[in-house]
Amino acid sequence: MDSASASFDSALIPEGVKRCKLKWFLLWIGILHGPVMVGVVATLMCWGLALNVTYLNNNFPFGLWIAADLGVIALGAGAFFTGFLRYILNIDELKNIVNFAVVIGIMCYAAAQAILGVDIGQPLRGWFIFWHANVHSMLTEVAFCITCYFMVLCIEYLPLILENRQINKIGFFHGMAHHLHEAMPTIAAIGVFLSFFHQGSLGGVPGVLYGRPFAFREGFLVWPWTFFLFILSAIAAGPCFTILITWITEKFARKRLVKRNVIDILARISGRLLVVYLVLKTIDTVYWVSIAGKVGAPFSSFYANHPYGYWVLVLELGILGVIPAIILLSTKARQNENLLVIACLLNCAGIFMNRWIMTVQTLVVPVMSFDKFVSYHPNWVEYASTLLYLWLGAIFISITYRYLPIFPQEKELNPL
Amino acid sequence: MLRNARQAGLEPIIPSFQYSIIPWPRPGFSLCGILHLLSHQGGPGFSFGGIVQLLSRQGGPIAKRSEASFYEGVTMKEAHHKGHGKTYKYGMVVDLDKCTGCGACMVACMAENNLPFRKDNSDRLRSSLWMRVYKISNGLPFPDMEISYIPRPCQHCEGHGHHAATPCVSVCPACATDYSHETGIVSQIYTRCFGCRYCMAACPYHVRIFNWWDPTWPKGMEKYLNPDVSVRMRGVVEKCSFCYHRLQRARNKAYAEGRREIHEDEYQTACTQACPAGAITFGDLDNPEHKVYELKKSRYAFRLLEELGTNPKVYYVSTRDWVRKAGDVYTGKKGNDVMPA
Repeated sequence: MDSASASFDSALIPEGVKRCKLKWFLLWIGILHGPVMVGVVATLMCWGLALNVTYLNNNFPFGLWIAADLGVIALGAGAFFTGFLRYILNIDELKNIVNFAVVIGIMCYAAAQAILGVDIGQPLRGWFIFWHANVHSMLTEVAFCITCYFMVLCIEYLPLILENRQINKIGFFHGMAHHLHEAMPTIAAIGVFLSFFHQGSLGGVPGVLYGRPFAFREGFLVWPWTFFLFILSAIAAGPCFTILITWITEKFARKRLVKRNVIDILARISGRLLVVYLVLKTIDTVYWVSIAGKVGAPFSSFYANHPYGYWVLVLELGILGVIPAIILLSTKARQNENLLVIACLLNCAGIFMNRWIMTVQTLVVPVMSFDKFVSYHPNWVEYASTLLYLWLGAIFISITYRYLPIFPQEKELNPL
Repeated sequence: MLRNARQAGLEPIIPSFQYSIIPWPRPGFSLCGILHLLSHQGGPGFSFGGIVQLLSRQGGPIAKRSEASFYEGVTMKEAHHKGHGKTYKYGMVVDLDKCTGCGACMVACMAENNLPFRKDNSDRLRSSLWMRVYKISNGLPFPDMEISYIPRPCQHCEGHGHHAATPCVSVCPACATDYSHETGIVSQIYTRCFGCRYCMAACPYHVRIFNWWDPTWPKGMEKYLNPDVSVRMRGVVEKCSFCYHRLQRARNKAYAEGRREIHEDEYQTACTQACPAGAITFGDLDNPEHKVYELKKSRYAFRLLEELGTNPKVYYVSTRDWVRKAGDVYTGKKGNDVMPA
């Protein structure tokens, strides 16, 4: 995407950086529209023909969609957490990646809300969650906080748009962008407050289900332990997702966009948080096993249903937890780009697997002794309508990267 | 008749969804009223819709009349939690030793409650069944093998102790389901449900079903639908209501006849009446004059998944040990030998 020459849209491209020719850019966007169309068809099928076109059923009211929802919101935590580190803890180097973290955050939160719009049986009544809100429901808290935080993200994204070369020539917009930058610490603080709550509430969604011993956890006041574990796991994995997407963008752009020391700060913090999370998660698991056993559910009963055997626990905490933590804690390993990317990939996969377990495996484990085990796997409609937002996210990042100055170090790293 | 009833100090019974979901206005709008709504604990929750109703009706003739008749001497919160007067705890006792697994209860339930079906209704994971009969066996080889059938309507959980709320009611984000402290019945408001299915995930009994399709019936059959029960649209969750419309009908009849109380036989669910073996008994679990009051005290009585703390209102009776073990704890503790047949 990086062969230089004057294009039809060159006046819109940020000053001092190179972008590929418009025809290659349009071709790339066109290619992405292929899977987008498949996703759009799948979505329209869900809306038009009802949810019988999926493999969801009465035993599995939650499936890929909800797991993906929880997953992308956790991965999008990189936005608020990087903002927290940059604006609240004042780690100045992170100003070089915080813009891109916001872009990734918008992508994730927009995806989460859109997937919910497909998942609910009556999308036109989606607003009932605000209008008839049940303050005792974790889902209500999630809906309010996610919506508010998405607005915060949009406000954080706005100055980037206003800094577009042409828009920024207009005095009003130039001033507005400046003032928004000035207000950014306050906006980031609001985002941090909202995000801590909804990340936690997402953990509360399975944690409060006292009819489901696999998911239920005791807790502190009204918050089950999963509330805190979800916050911790999200801030441990979110920065890794930011690193991962930055790396992919660099590969497509075929140039460095962020200095290694900036990436290293994020990776180091992510590694430390991952260790704390793993320790607390292990304590939680041991406590949960002892409590569940007392009321009649031996540990083995949770992992007795093929394919949800003990390997799930080993994979989630061991391979997708301990291994990336070791890599991210080691300075030498972090400096090896391949190892760093593998660690980030494993960390992100781990968080996704955790969300899958807390939603789908919760429903897999039969609660009544005479209940039959039923398996669930998503069908193409569910996959296509979920992956739709991955392709749309790629388009969004591509357009943002092409026309907006999101990487402050790009000029310095790639002089013309 | 109606005039006589009013003179006797009786008021018409309004459907429970009206007072359980919409915060009925108190005369005179005030900020305190709003705060009262906001602090409404344990019930259907705070509702912007309720506030709009409050604002639009405050001080009007409907509000004043309603307040005078329904909330005399009690606050709105008390009315929701304790009922407007005497409270009931409707429940069911199912004698599993009598149940033959004929499925008449399922059929009666479908007909009574306008449950749709498809040409091929064999997929139990997606079919609409409010009442489902499970078949279990003790897992032993012939000749020691035994079979039992467990009819399973909604358990109308009350919750208790640490879990003071019904599993499904507390999680619904839109107050589309509610626990009535006046009747002990868990209601579902179909027109408010937006189909997030969180309640289904919360229910360990699988009593809640989702409408995966638009409801359809064979041509002409729609003429035989029960006019007392609304047909549910696709994309919403529904469940057994203990034939709540029959309670409304019985109450209206009692009101028309100048009575405040209804007799045991005036309110019976469709499955209870359809059971040819007389295995299902229904009534007020707290009323010593009702049969269920004594039946639930049987030493052979148990409830499904008691140890979870859901506090259900459906009791089962069986003299067979292995059947009781299958029901009163969940997987593994005592029911290892139980096989889904």
